[in-house]
Amino acid sequence: MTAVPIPEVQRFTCISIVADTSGSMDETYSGKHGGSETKMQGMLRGLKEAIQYCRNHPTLSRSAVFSLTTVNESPADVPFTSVQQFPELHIQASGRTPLGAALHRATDGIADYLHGLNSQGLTWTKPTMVIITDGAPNGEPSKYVEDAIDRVRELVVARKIFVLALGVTAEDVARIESLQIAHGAIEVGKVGWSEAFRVVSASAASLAQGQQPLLPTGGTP
Amino acid sequence: MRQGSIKTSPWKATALSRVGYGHEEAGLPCQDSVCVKTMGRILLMAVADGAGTARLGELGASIAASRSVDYLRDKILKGPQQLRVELLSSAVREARRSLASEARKLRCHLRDLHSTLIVILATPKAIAVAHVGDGAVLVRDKTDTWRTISSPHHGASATETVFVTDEHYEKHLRAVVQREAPLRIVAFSDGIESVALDRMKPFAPFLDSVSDGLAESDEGHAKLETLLGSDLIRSRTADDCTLAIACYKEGQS
Repeated sequence: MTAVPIPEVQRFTCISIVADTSGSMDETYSGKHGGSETKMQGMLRGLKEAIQYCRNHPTLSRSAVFSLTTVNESPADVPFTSVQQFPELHIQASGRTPLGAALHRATDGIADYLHGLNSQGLTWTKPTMVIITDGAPNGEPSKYVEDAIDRVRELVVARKIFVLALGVTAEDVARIESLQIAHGAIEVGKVGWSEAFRVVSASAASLAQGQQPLLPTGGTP
Repeated sequence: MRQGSIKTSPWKATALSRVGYGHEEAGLPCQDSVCVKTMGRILLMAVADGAGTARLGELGASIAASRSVDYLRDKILKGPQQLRVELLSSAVREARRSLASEARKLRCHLRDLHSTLIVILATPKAIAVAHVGDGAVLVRDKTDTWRTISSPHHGASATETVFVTDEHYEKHLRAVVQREAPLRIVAFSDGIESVALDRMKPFAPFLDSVSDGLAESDEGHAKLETLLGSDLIRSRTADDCTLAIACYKEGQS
């Protein structure tokens, strides 16, 4: 029974970016490229490079869909969109860090999108949530943040999503690791935004090819 | 690896459940089960998929598949049966009763035996199916067209479904009788959905290929074993896979 034909794969690779766009992202940072650009500029550059990598990738170019959820609900928020059509982003860093609300919106967005794919008979690989943090959550009741984190944790425990955290400083990484929701965390100040997003896109490529996601050093599958 | 392989007239049938590599790597057994029997011109088949989250999903699937087929066989042995949805639905209920009884015996929750179930009764002129959960039943008719007789039930995501062991399983029990000659029948668990279905519609090139392999050769079962263990299938799913195929050979009885 050789050469059995099977349908062409159309398994979507969903990457949900939850980005800290609070006022502190307008500051420069230490480390690679630090001083020459703000954290926001670095993040947008890294994301752009990841998008470009996916556009050129043989599988991701057809299967990758990205969404962007900003903590301060910026007008730049993007629902799940094909990587080929993902828009150029211009975000103004401002305000506080209501991470709980952003996580709730991102979680709802993933559920809604997968439901839509399912109703069309389309399939997907395990979605990746990328949480970018610069400072502790604030600007909302702590219970709200805890509820949102619990929701993400439930999905992680049920193996329904894969979570990568990009913390600007070692303190951000330690904070997100203490929440026990991320499979792996990367310190952007140490490796730079390009390398941090390179892990995101390489992991998406691995998922798209039916393999386990790639983890940064020290990550837990 | 579980299997049922039958060479009888007028039905030529083969079936196999194979452990997925995801279960292999986790040291888990195959939690799918399949049962195929023929009684002269009657073909009986059942496919069950034990839930990966259930402690005894493998046992649940095995009981569901074997008990539903045995129930139909016993009914037929007692005398002629009308081919009605009630007959197939009662086979599902009987499987559910057996699962409940097993849960009492083992002093475990019924949910520990969570399993989907597809039960099929086919004659040269008709096919009847009762179904709870995912997986599907497809038929090739006289016009060589593949049609869906029963489609997968998915929840919010492709990996969510319902089980015959659910409290309100009757709400999700689907049964159908189609009075048209089923020349080929393919039933499968959810592990095979991504190769046998294309956007939830029968993918004829795959279905023709695997059923030709059975109809035109005496090595159908060996071919099926090779297919389910192949990189082709592994490239699409880490889940257990069950594929049951039957071909009606006219002029033989």
